[in-house]
Amino acid sequence: MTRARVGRVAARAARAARAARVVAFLGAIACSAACGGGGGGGSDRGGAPDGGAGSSTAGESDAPPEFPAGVYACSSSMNASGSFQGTNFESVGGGNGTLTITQSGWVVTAAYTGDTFVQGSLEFVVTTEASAVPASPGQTVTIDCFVPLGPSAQQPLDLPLEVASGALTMDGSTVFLSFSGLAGAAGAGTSTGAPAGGSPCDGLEIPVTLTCSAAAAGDQ
Amino acid sequence: MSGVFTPLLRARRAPSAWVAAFLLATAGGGAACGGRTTSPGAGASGASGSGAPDAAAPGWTDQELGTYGSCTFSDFGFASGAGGEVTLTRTSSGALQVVFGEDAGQPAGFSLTFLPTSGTSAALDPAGQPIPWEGFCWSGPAVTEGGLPIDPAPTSVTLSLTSGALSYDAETLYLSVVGTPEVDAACEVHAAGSITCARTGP
Repeated sequence: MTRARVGRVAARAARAARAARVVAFLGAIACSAACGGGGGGGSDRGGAPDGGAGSSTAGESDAPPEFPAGVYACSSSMNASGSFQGTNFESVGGGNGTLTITQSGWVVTAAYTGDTFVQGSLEFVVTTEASAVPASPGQTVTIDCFVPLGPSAQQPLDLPLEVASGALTMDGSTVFLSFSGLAGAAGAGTSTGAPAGGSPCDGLEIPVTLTCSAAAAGDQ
Repeated sequence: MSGVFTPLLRARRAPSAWVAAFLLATAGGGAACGGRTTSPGAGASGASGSGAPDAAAPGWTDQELGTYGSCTFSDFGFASGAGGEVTLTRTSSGALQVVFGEDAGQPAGFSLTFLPTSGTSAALDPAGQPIPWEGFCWSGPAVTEGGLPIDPAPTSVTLSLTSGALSYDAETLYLSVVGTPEVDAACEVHAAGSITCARTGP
């Protein structure tokens, strides 16, 4: 993991007010440098952001916890509430897709494909064998504006969703990937193909949850 | 949204994908889109795996405990929308208790217990906790007088939760559950749901 990423992770942990753990984490880095143990070996372990939990945590082991990598069949759900051209709406959407989880060092990558309504890839930093936190804020996925009003009622309307927060967790055999952020123009970019006036999803805070299992697609 | 659910309009855009919308008419008039109308309403799998709660894991800090509002919920039974409030407390044993306050037009209130797996995540514990849910269930004769299949009706059921996750990140609380419906009748139940809420106070 790069120094920049370590910095981002440390900053993220600080923002979450996990001061004690940050101190511990930085202390571990300082110790690693001062004591010379492992030397550059620490360059790839970066994360350990949450110090908090699990049997394998930062400062206790050189090896990151192993989040269960693999391919999962998922169903998605998302919400949007807002107003568009004089009509207030609450809209929900969701579909099915495939989540592929891989891990390299402390970084867990969750790539989601095949879903009409949301797709993309997010990076997380593993905190335990069953949890991971976003590696950085501002990562982007693509959603289809699922509000059946205006231009998005006529055709699929892709737009970016800039992820502000999220979590990757596992309980039993089920993986939950949750995140939320601003969609469209107020987020990381503008809607694809949106006419003047934008899409009804632009600027909305949209939460997304994927519920996944190792079962064959369609079993959800 | 405070309180009132309007008809749920659901339309298919692609196979295996769905979209639904609550359209609230405003002074300027509302809009409608195709799909069937339902009423609002009320999860599946279990066992242990790599996500087993770690009893040695530290609990969440006081920062994450407290009240969360501005909730949005997806597929809690039939209920999807916005509203409600979640209160997160810690029990004497270190477990986390989540209470979702019942309000008109929202999913029925419930209380669930989670065991921390990290400083910002927790897993449902124990499995099997019940939660009020809703499904479409068939009852009565198989066909109507006209010879057509009867329509299923929204029916309150209990979902026995088999897995669930509670996570906190950047002032946001995520709750997701999966379960098995406990019903006698033939029912169609979407047995997974999620709630996302924003931090509002201690």
